[in-house]
Amino acid sequence: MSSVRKFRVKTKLATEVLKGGGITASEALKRADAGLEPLREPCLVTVDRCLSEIDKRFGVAASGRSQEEFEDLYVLSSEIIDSSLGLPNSGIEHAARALCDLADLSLEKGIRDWQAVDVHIETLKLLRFRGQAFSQEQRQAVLDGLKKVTLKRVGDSSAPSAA
Amino acid sequence: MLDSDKLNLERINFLLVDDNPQALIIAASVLAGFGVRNYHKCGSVKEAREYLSTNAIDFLPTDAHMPEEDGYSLVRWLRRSAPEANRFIPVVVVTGHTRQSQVLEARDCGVNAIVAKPLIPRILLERIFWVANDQRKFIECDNYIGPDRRLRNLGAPEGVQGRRAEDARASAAAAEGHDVDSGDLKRGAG
Repeated sequence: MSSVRKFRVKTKLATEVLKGGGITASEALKRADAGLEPLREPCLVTVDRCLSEIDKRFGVAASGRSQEEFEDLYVLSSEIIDSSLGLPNSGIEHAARALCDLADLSLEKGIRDWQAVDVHIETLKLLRFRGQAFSQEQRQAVLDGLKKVTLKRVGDSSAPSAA
Repeated sequence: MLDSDKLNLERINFLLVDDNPQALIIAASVLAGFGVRNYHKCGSVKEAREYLSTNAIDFLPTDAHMPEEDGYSLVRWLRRSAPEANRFIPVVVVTGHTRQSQVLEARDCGVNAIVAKPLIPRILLERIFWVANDQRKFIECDNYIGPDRRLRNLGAPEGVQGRRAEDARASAAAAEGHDVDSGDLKRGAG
């Protein structure tokens, strides 16, 4: 059996935080939120760029979409998650995460279900333009429906292997 | 974390790692709001490794997915091969999505905590407090180096004799109806 060493580590972070002093958590959060305000617009630009590229390369009207790499779909969806603070309370990060799930599962299983991709892209567009106007219940209903599509179409190994 | 809890991060050196320049700007802005003065940004694992080899830092938030090498690989290297001063620092992996193939790697690389993207200031601050107050021991063995992966010690599975000294105490406590964390064990042992 291999040897196991257990020990406690005293980190500088622990020392400094536990020492007390400094600013309150509420003040820190207020300052951080204020610092993010000017970044929301550039983030929204990024969301739109990614969404546009996804639609252009993987959307229903993209004639060469079967030649595209799902890895790129994964990366673009991830970038939407990163930048979704440009669109707070829209739910778009959850739809982008569902598309990441779909792309990841598709890569794992070697299948491409374009109907599922289409539903995810349309949901992203819906949340981009209407998400903030939806009530929380409406957003949740949209996202719950999307989750079912992800799991049913690709999570289920018997899903059709449409090219 | 209470809104009235205080923190002073002025003397803490952060290293931020993300291949997405916008994500780096967001993280740096959030940390500046928390009062952080010293941070360095790296756009790749290679760059971060070079920086960590020659500079002492105190906290490392890293992105999980980067094109050439991912954040989990950076953490694994940090725990095994980085200079001693950096080997045990708190590490938080920031990720928007975890691939099926990386779930085990995320668990086993030696990270202290995982934070979901988009980066929400309150969540990051709670994690900083949590990591600073974390009482878990560090574990070093052949296939794992990092904080104890058990957040709660519920003892050995039912009907199995535990191998660890804590298991007996944990089983007894569980029988009394409450969980035992590593902090309780430390106090109990003292």
